[in-house]
Amino acid sequence: MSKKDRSRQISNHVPTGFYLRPRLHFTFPGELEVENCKGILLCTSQMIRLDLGRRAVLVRGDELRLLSAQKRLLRICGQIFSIEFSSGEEVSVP
Amino acid sequence: MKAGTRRLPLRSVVRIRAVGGRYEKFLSDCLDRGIPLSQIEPIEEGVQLTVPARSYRHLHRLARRNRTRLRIEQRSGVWFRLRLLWGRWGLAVGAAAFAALLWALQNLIWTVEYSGISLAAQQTAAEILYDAGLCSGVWVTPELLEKGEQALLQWKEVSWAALNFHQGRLMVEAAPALDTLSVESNDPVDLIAAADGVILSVNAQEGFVCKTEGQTVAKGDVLITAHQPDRNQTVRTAHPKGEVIARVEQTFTCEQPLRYQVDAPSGDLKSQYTLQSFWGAWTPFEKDFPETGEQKVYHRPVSVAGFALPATLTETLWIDHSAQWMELDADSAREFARYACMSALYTQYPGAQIRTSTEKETWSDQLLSYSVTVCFDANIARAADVEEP
Repeated sequence: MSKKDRSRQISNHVPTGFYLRPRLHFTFPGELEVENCKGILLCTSQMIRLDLGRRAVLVRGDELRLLSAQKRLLRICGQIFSIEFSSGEEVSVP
Repeated sequence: MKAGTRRLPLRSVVRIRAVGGRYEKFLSDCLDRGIPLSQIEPIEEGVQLTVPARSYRHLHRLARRNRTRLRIEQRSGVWFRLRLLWGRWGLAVGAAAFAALLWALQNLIWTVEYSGISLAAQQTAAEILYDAGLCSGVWVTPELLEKGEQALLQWKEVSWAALNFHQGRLMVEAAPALDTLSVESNDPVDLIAAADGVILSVNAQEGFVCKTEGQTVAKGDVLITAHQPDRNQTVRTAHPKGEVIARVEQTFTCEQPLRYQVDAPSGDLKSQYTLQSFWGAWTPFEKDFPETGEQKVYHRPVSVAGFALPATLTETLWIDHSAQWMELDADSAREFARYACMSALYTQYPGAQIRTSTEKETWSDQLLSYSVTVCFDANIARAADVEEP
């Protein structure tokens, strides 16, 4: 089996659009990396709400801020208290 | 922001405050456009963010669309420093012209550095090099360097010298001359007494001793002889060498006038400055100096605020001398006379140790006759063919 065929065989096991799905990586003591974020819905020092397509994520905490915001990748740091998931339409921010 | 600037001082960034309107939508639009944002800190009704200098011009359209007000807080980085020079072409042209001028004039002597010789010798070396045509502001050629080296090598105070020239700097390396060895004469010459006295000790290294301790000798007596017959009356020859310490009593006299005439500076001083460089010499104020008087010429390298320039400043100093009467008081005249007597003693007997001294002085019509009788211990052995100092 050639190298090209082998790589094609591996890629066939990965579902279509796998790398375009939203992903969240959380590292202690409190840094959240969000991949494939579609937009920022709310940005305050207590909460940050992000649009992930079909879902939305609400990050609650204190002294929250965005370390960097590049295309499809955000890094949030601060004291994170909770992370809430909801559909984009239903979530209401208090 | 500040920490980032410290890590990457070359990176040019803008710190922006985005307030009002739909500022979250503004952030999302920035992400969609691929504008990298960093250090986004929420503030009241908006955010503060940092954006690269190359991208911040694109933010205004997005902000207007979302009714967000943008305000620049801080600009930092090399680009904004260089932007101050934008349009001021004279500065850039001046710097380029200055660099080109330096490059074109690097064959001129801008500075001269010395190594291996003392500060006093450096002054003499500078004068020798000036006479050979090498000084600050001169266009250097290999022939000129060779001429300067030859001139330095003829100077007796250095054993070797080398001139190295590199990009406007003339390095003068030299080593002080070693003391020349004096070879003693090996002629068989008697050692005789230089003065009357009583011998205290005899230290004969060569030759035949004629006088011993305790003997009284007169001036001219042979102390250590070079020839002596043996028992067969065969004359043996040696080269007398040694030291004969004797107690001597001698009187030194000196006459010191209280008023005498000397040739001294009158206080009249004139100076003229000439600036020399590769274009020639320029004298701002030319002066005519009289034939009489003392004239001194100094050559100094020109520097401005510590930076050496390729030019030499020649200062010609004229000092007027005139005959002036010197008046001495009694104490000064006595000191002068005593100094002259002691100088004569130590010139005649180097290393003499004075035991007693008796001074006597007489005054007659503004003239001091001073005499000092000194009893001293000294080496009185002298070669017979050497004249007394």
